Amino acid sequence: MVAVRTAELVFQTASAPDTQRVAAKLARAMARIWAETKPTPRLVVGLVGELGAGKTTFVQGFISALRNGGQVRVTSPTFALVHQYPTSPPVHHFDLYRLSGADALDEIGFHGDAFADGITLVEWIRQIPDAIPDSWIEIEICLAPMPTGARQLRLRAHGEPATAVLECMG
Amino acid sequence: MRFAQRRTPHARAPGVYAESTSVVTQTNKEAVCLSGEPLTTLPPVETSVDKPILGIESSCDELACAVLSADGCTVLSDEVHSQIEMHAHFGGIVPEVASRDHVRRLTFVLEQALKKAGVTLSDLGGIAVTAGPGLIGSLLCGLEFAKGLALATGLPLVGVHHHEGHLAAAFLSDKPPVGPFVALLVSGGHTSLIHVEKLGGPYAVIGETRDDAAGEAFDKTAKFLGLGYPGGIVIDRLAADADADRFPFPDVMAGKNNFDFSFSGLKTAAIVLARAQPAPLEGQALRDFCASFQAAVVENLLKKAFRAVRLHDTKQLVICGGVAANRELRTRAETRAHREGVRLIIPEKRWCTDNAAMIARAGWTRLMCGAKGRDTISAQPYWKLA
Repeated sequence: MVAVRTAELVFQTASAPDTQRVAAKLARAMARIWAETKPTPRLVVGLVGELGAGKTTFVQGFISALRNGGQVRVTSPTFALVHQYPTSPPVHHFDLYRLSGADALDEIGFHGDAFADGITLVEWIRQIPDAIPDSWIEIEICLAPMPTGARQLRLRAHGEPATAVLECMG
Repeated sequence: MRFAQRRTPHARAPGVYAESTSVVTQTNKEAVCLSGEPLTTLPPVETSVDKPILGIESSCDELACAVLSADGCTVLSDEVHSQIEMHAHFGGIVPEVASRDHVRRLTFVLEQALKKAGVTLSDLGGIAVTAGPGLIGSLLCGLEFAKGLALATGLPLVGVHHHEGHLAAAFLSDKPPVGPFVALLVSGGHTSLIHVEKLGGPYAVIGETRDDAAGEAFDKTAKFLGLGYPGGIVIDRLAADADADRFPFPDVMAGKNNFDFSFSGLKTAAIVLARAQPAPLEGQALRDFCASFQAAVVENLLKKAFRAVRLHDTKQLVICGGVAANRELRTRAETRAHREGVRLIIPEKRWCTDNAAMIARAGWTRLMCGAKGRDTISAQPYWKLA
């Protein structure tokens, strides 16, 4: 059996813009891997963290670092369930907060062709275990017990090509 | 009832669901339009509608049918079937559950609406149905059902933009807006300031939320506090007569020189503040906390809305959408409107939350202005108002 490679990076950030700089760094690394290898299946980033941790804030920093991302308005997809951004690479921004069960994933076309290319960002990914692919980058954002603004970000790569992305970043 | 005897829509209902599901996964271009192209502005021509209009709304967790009089002034019936109780269990809307339930209830809700209005399908002059934006599965249920109905009856069918519906709710009152106005549209999924030339457009979106919708901030904060769903109503109830000055909430603005909103920071502030309390929030402290949080959200909304009114050469403000049912928002808006000499129009509470009367009203305006009914309307989950 082949050992699955993993990688982990931890950041302590002092403010929302600081958190967004880490997100931007990850975005640039992912864009590079995407451009060089066009990985299939798609690149998936799962955001883990309680309410108010700053998952959408992280996504805003991520998008702004991509080509054509400067003008994109990133808002919480909790209500709409998925937002798609015309960046390069294209990004699909899911929010599973209101969902439960594998059926709900099918209903929104989570595994469908419409979201096959580019990067898929998933808030509340642990809400539905079926949303978690073999290879993905887990972003854990911790709010407490720090004061507002400060966060601990734990970036964990599961399998390939996720590990290559984190290595490219560090 | 005549409609039930035909059996066609009855027999169709389960099929509609099966069809809808496959449509979603295949992203069939004809039935679903994902581009988010903006709404077309109405031409200024006016024709007439001489029969009542049926409205159907199913874009989210409310399923509703309503009949509007031929002159567009009187709501003859307004049947809403809400799934709030079912969704309360999940702490929010579960689209799969929503669309399954919609299919089951559609025929019944329609029959009730026709019966209460004292009309049959043959008395109607047209059908208006929400075509977007919204949850695709839910949208398709109402839309495909309406298409079947239009096909069976030969009635013209118009697809209505859900937000135009909310704006149209302001025209269901005895004192509707006259001329251009600024509208604050606040709900669980949307928070925007819109300049409205007239109902039917042109519309200009002058401000939007940069992160969470106002209703979403209520829902998520309520969930964090363990208060249940929908958060806005629960917080509103607890906040009544409580001390809104007890807990300090930051004045979270998305910049002072624009009309955008930001509620994510306020939600986080609520969580951090609640955690910092020496004891868990309960009793009077919880009520005061809800009142303080609610006042902060409302103040944010109104500050920008009234500034938009001042700068957009109008003296009229419409507040619509589900959050417009919030008592604190209504009271503070009235006080402020009185002080600033602004004509304030807030629809009745039942027409703030999702309903079909507003969809019928918007559809009535479109039919009046010569919109041609057609049966090829696509569901547009990302439809833009402007």
